Amino acid sequence: MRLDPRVKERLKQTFTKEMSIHKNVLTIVSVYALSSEEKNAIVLKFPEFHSTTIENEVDPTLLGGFILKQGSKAVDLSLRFVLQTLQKKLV
Amino acid sequence: MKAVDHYIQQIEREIRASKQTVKTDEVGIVQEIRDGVVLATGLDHAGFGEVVEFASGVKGYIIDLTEEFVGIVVLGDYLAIKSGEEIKALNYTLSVPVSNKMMGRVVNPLGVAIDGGEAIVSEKMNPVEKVAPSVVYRKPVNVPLQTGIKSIDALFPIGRGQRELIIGDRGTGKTTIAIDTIINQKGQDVICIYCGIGQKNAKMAIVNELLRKQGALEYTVVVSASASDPASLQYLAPYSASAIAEFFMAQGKDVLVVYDDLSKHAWAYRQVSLILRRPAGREAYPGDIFYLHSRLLERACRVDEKYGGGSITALPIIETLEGDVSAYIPTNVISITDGQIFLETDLFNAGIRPAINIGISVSRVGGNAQTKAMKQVAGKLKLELAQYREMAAFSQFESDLDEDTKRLLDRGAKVTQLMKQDKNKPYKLGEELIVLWAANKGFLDTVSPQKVTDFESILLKEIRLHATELAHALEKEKVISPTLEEKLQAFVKPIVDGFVSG
Repeated sequence: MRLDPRVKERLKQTFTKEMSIHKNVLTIVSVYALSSEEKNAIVLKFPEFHSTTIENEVDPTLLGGFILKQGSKAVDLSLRFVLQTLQKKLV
Repeated sequence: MKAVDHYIQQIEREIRASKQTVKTDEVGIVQEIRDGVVLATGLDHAGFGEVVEFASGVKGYIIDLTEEFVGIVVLGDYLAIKSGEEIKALNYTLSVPVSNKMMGRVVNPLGVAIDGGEAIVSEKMNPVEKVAPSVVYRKPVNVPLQTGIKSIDALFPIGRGQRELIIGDRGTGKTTIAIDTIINQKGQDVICIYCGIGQKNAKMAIVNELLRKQGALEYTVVVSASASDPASLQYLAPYSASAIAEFFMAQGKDVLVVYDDLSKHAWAYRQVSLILRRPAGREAYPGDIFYLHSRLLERACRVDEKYGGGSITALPIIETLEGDVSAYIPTNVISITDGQIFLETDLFNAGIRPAINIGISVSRVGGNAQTKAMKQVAGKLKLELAQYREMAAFSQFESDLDEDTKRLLDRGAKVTQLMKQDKNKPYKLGEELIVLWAANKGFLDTVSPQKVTDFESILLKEIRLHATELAHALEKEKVISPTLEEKLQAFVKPIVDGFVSG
């Protein structure tokens, strides 16, 4: 299939725009659904993450704590991670 | 009970005291797994050569950064990695642990002991990829590295800091030359590293056993990425060996590294490159295959005393097919190194071992490193052998030859015989000098060509029994003075006379 170069260029632009929005989303993974106060309290503690859109994912396997994700950056403050680190140190 | 309470209290105290550190990680997601190579998304801020860890605990390192994907070479079992798995960047470039305790051990390219012994604890890490020392740090090569092989020490001398290629078909004794050189470094204050790339595990075991038997293992590190290891480890092995060598060189020591062999290294890199879909060039090798070897061999050097001294001598090995030295990888490595020792199947089968082809072997910088005494005895031999080869080719067509030519042919044949040497029996410098001196002074003229080897073994026995002092004097003075010449005459002549008369 041959694409008109202009169409191709537009597609690329749209894609990068969508990607940048997607990359800018700050995701908080937690064990239970967080209230907006809780979300804001967490975000205020991390000045290096700043975003207008905050999403909340629920993952009970974390056991406790939360994970912050934005683009390829991530801060893992879950209980699961602490236990995994302990396991690695013991084995 | 009291003890338990005590422990609980201690744990409570530690928990209270511990501060959880917040670390921002660079993460990515596995998208595709190919043979030993993972393609991932994310890892936007990771750099080239950075080490990453998969959720399964396997490590890898970044070898390709494209617009959409990050190419990661897996160091270990890639079958445990699953699509969609998280990858974490560890924020350091690939390094190997180095320590003096590595001597006498067999390690894999990641510096982990694989000889069944205790784990090697080390406090220092050396980067696997390092830019070679620049011009200001270097010093000309002028200290010899004795291989203990007569023909090499006489005709193609190797200096400390040189890169001398050993090239030949399979089964022509390439590894033997390298191993003999390692064995001969006993007591020479040289640390040896034998790096096996894509070798059979059985061969590695034989090499290891041989080194141990000869007492050479105590100053040798064996780095092994065998044929059953993933291509990524085979690709890394020579760089790791070089990193370990640099650790010893930084202590001002002389190091000898054997890369056995770089053909298989090129294959491993070709495999990784093809999986990463890099454009393939001649013989399907990627475009940077020359740089692959040149950046490795450039790390061999002799450092000026002002900057700590020390040297790394490299003996890369290349396996040719059907003696074809004009194939891609052989020509590349020949042009990078400071000379080559070319081994031939025909010579090997004719019983001339080491099967060195004297015509096309050369050493481009070693001449300055040769001791004066060796130059005195070897200079004429080289000329005689060259003339012999030329004459031998022509004399086949002519039946009657003049006396001069006959004498030349006779001498050449005898010197060729004299250059034969059994494997794993390196000569000391003094022994080499006496044997070659005898040939140089025409003492072989009365010995028949078939008996040269017998004569030499008797001469060697006599040297080891009665002339160790003379040999030491030759090694020490480094030049054959008239007084030493007299002593040599007095020592060799009776042996020759005795041998000829029966």
